[in-house]
Amino acid sequence: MVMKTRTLSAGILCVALLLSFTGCKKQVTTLQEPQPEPKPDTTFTEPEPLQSIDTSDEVSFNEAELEAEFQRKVQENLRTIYFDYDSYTLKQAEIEKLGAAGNFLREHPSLRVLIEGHCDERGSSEYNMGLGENRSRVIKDYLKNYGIPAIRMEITSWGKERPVVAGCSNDACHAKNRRAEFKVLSR
Amino acid sequence: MINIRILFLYSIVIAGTLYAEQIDLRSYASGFDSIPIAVIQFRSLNNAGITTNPPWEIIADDLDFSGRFFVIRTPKSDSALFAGKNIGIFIYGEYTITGNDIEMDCNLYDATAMDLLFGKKYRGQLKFLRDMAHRFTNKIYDMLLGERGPFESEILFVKDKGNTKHLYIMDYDGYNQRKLTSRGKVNVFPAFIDSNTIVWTSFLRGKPDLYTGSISAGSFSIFVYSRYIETSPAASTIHDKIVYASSRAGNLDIYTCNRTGKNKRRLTFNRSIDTSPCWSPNGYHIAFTSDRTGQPQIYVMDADGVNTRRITFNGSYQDSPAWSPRGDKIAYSSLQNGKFDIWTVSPDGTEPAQVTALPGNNEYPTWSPDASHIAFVSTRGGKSNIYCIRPDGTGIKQITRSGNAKMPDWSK
Repeated sequence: MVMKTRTLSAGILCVALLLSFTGCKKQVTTLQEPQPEPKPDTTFTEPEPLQSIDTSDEVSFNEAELEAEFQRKVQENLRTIYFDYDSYTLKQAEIEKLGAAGNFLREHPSLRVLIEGHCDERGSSEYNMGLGENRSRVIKDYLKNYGIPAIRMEITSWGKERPVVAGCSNDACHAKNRRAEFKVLSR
Repeated sequence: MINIRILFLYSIVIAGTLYAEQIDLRSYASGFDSIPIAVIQFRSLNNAGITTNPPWEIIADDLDFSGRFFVIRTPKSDSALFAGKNIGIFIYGEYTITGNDIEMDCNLYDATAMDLLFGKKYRGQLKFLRDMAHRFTNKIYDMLLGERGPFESEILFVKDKGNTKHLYIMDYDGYNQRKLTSRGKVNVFPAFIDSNTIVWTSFLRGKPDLYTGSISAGSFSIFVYSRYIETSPAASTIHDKIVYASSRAGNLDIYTCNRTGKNKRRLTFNRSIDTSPCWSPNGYHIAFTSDRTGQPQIYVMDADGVNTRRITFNGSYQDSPAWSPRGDKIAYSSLQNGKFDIWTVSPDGTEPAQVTALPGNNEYPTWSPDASHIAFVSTRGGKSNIYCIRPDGTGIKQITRSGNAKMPDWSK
């Protein structure tokens, strides 16, 4: 069985080599039309005025602007992750957000973050302290598997003590509180 | 009843000593389900009267609260009233206010013979007037029932203002509220270690750690801390152990340590949330919450972490166990039909009994030191306030009115 497979793969390799060889040959034989001779300039074009220079790649050295830019990127990439009631399972839409977070953390290898788990206001404060931590841990574990060293991530829980919206009476409202947030610890 | 009264009078004449009187007050008390007693408005010995906190009202409120007295409040002694209501004893006092000080005699009388049975003199600043009245009621309670009354006990609790939470302490009746913490944004799960020392969870470092503090000194220090969650402490009244929940081994498990934060010992090893522990009054057992079967339920284990057994089965989500100081019941909150109510159950899991059937959520039970009442948090009326109720579901009383009180812990 092993021998057979080897013979087979050797055959495939031969065919592949042959194909690539003929490909090369073709490229050599194809000739391109010669370019027409450039004509000398007969008219003078004004250079573009300075104002219209594309500034999208400009690098700012203004500290406040840099900081604002960094914060914008943090907000854009380290987004709040939401959970279902009494659950710390990552939902598909939230996993996509974590992909962006993982990439951002890979691009900023000195960044250390705190992941804070939160719960909605139902159930006891004590139990929710544990549930909030499970939420932050599942995110840490995901990012660890994504390739972010665990040492760059701290986790904690605020339980249900810091709701975004207090005094909810429906699930759409409760859902806003069942979350995990990123905080930048150092960079 | 008549026999008891005769015995009662007879012994006073014969014996006349405090010891003998105590005995007979007990036999008087034992003749009733609700002990008949009158409280007469006290008299000022100079012109300075009491406008707020009348001590006779505080004493009458205390006696009423206990549920073990039939209290008559009257402006003056009235033999016909006493006879008509079977009143055998009454409380009366006199006081003198000088500036910010008060001197007050509180006395217990035999209503039939009009004899003084027992008296106490209190002297001090007017701001301690409520404490004097509570102390006198405790004394009377002990003489009549042979039990320590709850009238000088205090309740720790949390006031929630937006996203900041701070610890407060108040008398058991909701008066005399004082703020205990000012640092850290979130201070939660307060628990008495003794009457002056507390342990709680604070986010002072941006994450939950345990802190201890002295109420009288206003000082505090970090107690158990780590990179992980250290939360939900409870102290034993028998030995020096503190039980708490920590996630240092992965997720919340139950740990114990001594009062210096040393000798940490892990008791549960589940891959589930184990939290909200409390001691049995004899210090041999620990009740706690665990979601090891999927949703939170109450479990009991020995103090060394073995012999774990589940004790709640009557709801899908049951939490916040509190062991009665008498040892015979564990109070907890149970989610049924979408809202929480307080229940009790025997430590062996038998006899689950509903205590509250109130609107809103009713959670976080804590027992009075004499096990006569359970304080809890109710959101009836939309706001979060602390209430008291007897374990049989009678005698509900609202304790706080600010609408943001949570997590009560009654002194031991």
